[in-house]
Amino acid sequence: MKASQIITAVRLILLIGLLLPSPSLAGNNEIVVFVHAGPKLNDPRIKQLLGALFEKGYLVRAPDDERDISGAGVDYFDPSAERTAREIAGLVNGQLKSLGLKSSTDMDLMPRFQRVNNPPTYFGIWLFGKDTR
Amino acid sequence: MLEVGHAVHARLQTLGWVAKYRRWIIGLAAAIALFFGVVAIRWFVFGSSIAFGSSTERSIEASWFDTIEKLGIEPRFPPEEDFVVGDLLALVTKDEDDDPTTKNKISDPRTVPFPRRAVKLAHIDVNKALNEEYGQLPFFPNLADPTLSASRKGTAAAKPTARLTRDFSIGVQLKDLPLAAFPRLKIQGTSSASAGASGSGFWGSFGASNKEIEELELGEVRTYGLPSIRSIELLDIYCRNPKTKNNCTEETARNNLKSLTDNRSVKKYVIDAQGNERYAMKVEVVMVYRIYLTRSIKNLRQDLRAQQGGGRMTAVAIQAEATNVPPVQPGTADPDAMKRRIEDLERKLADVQAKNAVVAEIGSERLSSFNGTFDRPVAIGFRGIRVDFAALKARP
Repeated sequence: MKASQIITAVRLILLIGLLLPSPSLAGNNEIVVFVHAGPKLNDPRIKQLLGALFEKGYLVRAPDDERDISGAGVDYFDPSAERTAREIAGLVNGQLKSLGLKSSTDMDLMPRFQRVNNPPTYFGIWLFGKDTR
Repeated sequence: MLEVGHAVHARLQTLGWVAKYRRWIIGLAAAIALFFGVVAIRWFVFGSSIAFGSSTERSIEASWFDTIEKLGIEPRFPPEEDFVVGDLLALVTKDEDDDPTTKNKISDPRTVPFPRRAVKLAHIDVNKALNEEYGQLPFFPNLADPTLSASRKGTAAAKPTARLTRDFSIGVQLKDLPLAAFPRLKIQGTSSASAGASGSGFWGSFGASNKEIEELELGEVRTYGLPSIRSIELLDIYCRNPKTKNNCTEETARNNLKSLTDNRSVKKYVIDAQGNERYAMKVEVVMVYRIYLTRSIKNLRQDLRAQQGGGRMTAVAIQAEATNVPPVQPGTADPDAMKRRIEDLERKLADVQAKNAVVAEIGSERLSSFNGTFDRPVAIGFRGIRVDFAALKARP
């Protein structure tokens, strides 16, 4: 078999490979966020915050009234999820300020890695710390 | 003039290229045609399953549900004795949990075993109502009863002693319950196809055959229950009673389904940009008002598949054939039909089994069955009325 024939065969195989469907990439709709709204669970502005997260494509679980003793923050459970946690924290900080849920003197939510056996697509958003009223 | 010369030159170059690689082009065209031919035959014989791996096997639950539903009743799988008229159930009717990490998702509640999606909340005492309803109904003596035979022959003062005892408070024998003549259901289908293709120096063929049998036989089915109006009245009274009304609420249903669903029955998700929420599962509270019972069940599902393909170099022949055998009608099925079809395929491919030939055969047989005879009757299906949660909430 000549070299040119081999090249032709390889080209044909590559062409067929291009025609085959490629696997789809995972998107935001596979990311599940758990919102802990603390004492402001029934505040209508919390619903606006949830709506903003929904619009970004996240799967948003209904909030609860829990507060974190170690303060507000965005928990992530796999080192590879830090970037997404940072994005979520940025979005939530912006919403909290624009909705007036936090003053300018309050600390921003920061991503924090937790060694808990949760799926890497799970994120916990603790809006308020223990001292919040 | 120069442009015309270029065009002619280019065309000649193309023709030259085609002539040079004609074997490659013919070979590629033959390979593509063969691939699509095999896919087409598989699609024709095995339906939408065109993947080359094994197809998804239908579960016995799915088969059971499909068959029982054809009779217009809600299936109860696995059949159970502890399932009676008056039972108040909490059921999962839809699982809309989009969390991709969810385990034990109930993708199709119809085909999930009943204990995985339902709990018994309570039992509404309907014995008095059943006695009243059946007390008003006419009945027919058992014609097979020996005392009746004696009576017909004019033997000494023999009177019909065959009497129906339908007192639901003390227990009713299966023979005294109304009969439901369920037909023996048998669904059978057969299909097969084969095709061959040839080119210079190559001959190839592919054939496939498929046969599916589904059979459900229920021995002596009996039924009992309440009329719909009476059962709605009883449920309404129960759901208004201050002592029992909480048993009818959606909240009670969801709380009682928590252990079955890993708490997903009470889980909610945000569903729009306004932050509105929805439960991950839809649930219902149902009161059973009619039951179908049997003491003997035979359910069989058989799926026989065969594929055969082959190729030969150096032969020169042209052959193309496709056959379509219509599904065998129920009751006229020939048990050897599948065997004959496979033999037919083998004959068609016999030419291939010569020098320089390659032949491949794949065959599979899947069998699922459920067969049992029980000491006492078991419920195989039911009819129920649903609690209207919205109307219940609106009550003062």
